[in-house]
Amino acid sequence: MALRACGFVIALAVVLAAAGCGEGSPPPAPLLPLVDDRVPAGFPAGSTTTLAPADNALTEARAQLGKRLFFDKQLSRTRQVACATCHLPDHAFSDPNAVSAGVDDRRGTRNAPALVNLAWGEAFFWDGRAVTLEEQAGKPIEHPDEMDLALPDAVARIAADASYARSFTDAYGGPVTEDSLRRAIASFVRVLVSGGSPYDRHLRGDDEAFGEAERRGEEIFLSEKGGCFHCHPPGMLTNEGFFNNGSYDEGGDTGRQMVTNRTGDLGKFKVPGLRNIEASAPYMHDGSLATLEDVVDHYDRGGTGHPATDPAIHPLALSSAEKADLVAFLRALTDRSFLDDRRWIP
Amino acid sequence: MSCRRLPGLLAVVSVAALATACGGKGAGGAAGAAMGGAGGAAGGAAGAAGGATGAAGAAGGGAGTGGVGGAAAQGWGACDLMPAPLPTSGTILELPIAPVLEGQPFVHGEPNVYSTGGTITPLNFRFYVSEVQLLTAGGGTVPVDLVTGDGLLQPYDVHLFIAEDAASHTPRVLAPPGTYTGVSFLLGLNAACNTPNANGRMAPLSATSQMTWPPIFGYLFLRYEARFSADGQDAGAGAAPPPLIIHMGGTPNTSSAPVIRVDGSLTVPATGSVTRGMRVAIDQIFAGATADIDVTGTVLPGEEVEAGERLRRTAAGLPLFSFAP
Repeated sequence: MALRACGFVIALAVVLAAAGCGEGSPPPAPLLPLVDDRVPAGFPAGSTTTLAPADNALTEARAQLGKRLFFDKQLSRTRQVACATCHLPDHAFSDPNAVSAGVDDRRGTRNAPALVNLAWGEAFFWDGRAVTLEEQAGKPIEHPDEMDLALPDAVARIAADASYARSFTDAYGGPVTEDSLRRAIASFVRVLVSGGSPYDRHLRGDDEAFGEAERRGEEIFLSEKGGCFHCHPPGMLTNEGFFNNGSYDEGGDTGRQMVTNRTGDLGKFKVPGLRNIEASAPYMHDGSLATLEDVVDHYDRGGTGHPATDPAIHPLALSSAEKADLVAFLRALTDRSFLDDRRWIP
Repeated sequence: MSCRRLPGLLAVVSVAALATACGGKGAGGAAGAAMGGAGGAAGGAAGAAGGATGAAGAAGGGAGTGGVGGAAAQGWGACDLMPAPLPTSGTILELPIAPVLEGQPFVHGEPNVYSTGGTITPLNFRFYVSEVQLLTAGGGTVPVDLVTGDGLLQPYDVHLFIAEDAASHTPRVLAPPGTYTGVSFLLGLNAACNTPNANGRMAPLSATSQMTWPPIFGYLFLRYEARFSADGQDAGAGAAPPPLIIHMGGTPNTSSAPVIRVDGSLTVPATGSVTRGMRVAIDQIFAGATADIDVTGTVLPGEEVEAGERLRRTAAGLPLFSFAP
């Protein structure tokens, strides 16, 4: 009851904020069909619409504009790299390469993460250096190893493209700006909702595609023996925290420590959600593990054993059968309806 | 994103609109608070704090204020996102909590020298505070609402302390003016909030709290994880290294959160706000977690869970929290 009532209050606030955009603002576009208000099983209440910040209320026009920008190679210095170059829809918007190729074939040091259910995210990038999707959206455009284009230059290119003018007016009431560019891309990322995997159906009581191996794998996942749930709680499958999961070794990427400068944050990286993990290989922040079997073996070994490893990471002594069951469970997180959704493609 | 923003979103809505929208029990509670807060406080607190008694008429100068009645009206037997009406009066009492190790600041994420030798680097330290009550000279208690810095109710009337997030270090309550002899609170959640499934819950009870446990296990009340480095020093003859992981709670319906009592004079003025610093002693947490209590078979196997259970059983009798000098 209280949830419903306060959901109404939030919606009211959003509507009031939208209404306050000023004279001449276009009326809100219909939210369907692109904007999908499904809430995956186990996620906090709140649809993608209500999760959007008040200054970037989610609309069809904004999400559609963001989609176009996401696939637009004009946003890189060389005009050869788009967001979608490293975040491929068929791979749950991740990159099958360990590290992606940016402009001039420059290579970064981290694997492009999957873009799934980030509307519920609380920090972005492997090190969490952006706290909103809007903040996140501009950084790859400017990163020298990715798209290497200053945002003012990106705005100038989009402003010079007459085909964008109407879209920005419809979405944000005026010509492109750095803010509206980032907000549009964030709007598109916000609608990438996945909640149709066999695991999601299992959580809703439908076990038709969730067999015995998957059930045994889930049991290990949620047990102290497997211990996966410490960072990947059931439902969201991420606690949005930062942990050193034993992927770090001496001299490697220091991860979260680059943001906080804390000694204890050495080698910590953001805990990713796991939906569609089967489609988003390779794994870990550096793409160093090629398969799900490799991932399970990594945890079974207790990681690299570096002293900075989280104390919860230790050898698990899983049997071969238990490992296979865990992999079966992870494969049950694959949402074909998301991966095959052609709405994501221009 | 969702829950963090809730107070901000609510802030743009007028108090009147909020009261209407979140109405029901809240609106009725507000009326009850205005008409007779102290009596409501007695009923509301009874049985909710594991032995804390209601304070009928013992709210000092605050009897009948909205803050008292607000907390009373909800009764603390529920776990609602918006648990009570907006308090209509009272003073914001800030209770910033600073972790200390053997009397010295315990710096999160950095090596802290430990007396037995070596250093402790905390990696994750968080705990819930709920059901806050002010203690009166007559032995009574005044239940108060947890609020944000703007005076808005904390969702679920619960506060989550997160060591790495300085903004979370200060629980705030809306306190009736008066003089008190201390404060008490649950180190954890009440039974209504400590349910075995966080699905759909917002912060601070969502999965991103890092306090949720798999279905049937409910929430952790306190989570502590650290690294210990001997740094080449001998820990000393017979000296055991400190616990590295302590997970307290996670067993709904079979264990209650300990009631923490912090004694010390506390004066709440009629206007403005007031701050009373508190400390949480990490070495006392270690003492509880390593107490000589056999918990075998009462909780799931696992050193961290057993350490947490020992702490849960001993916490109320240990000086875990104290007012800063």
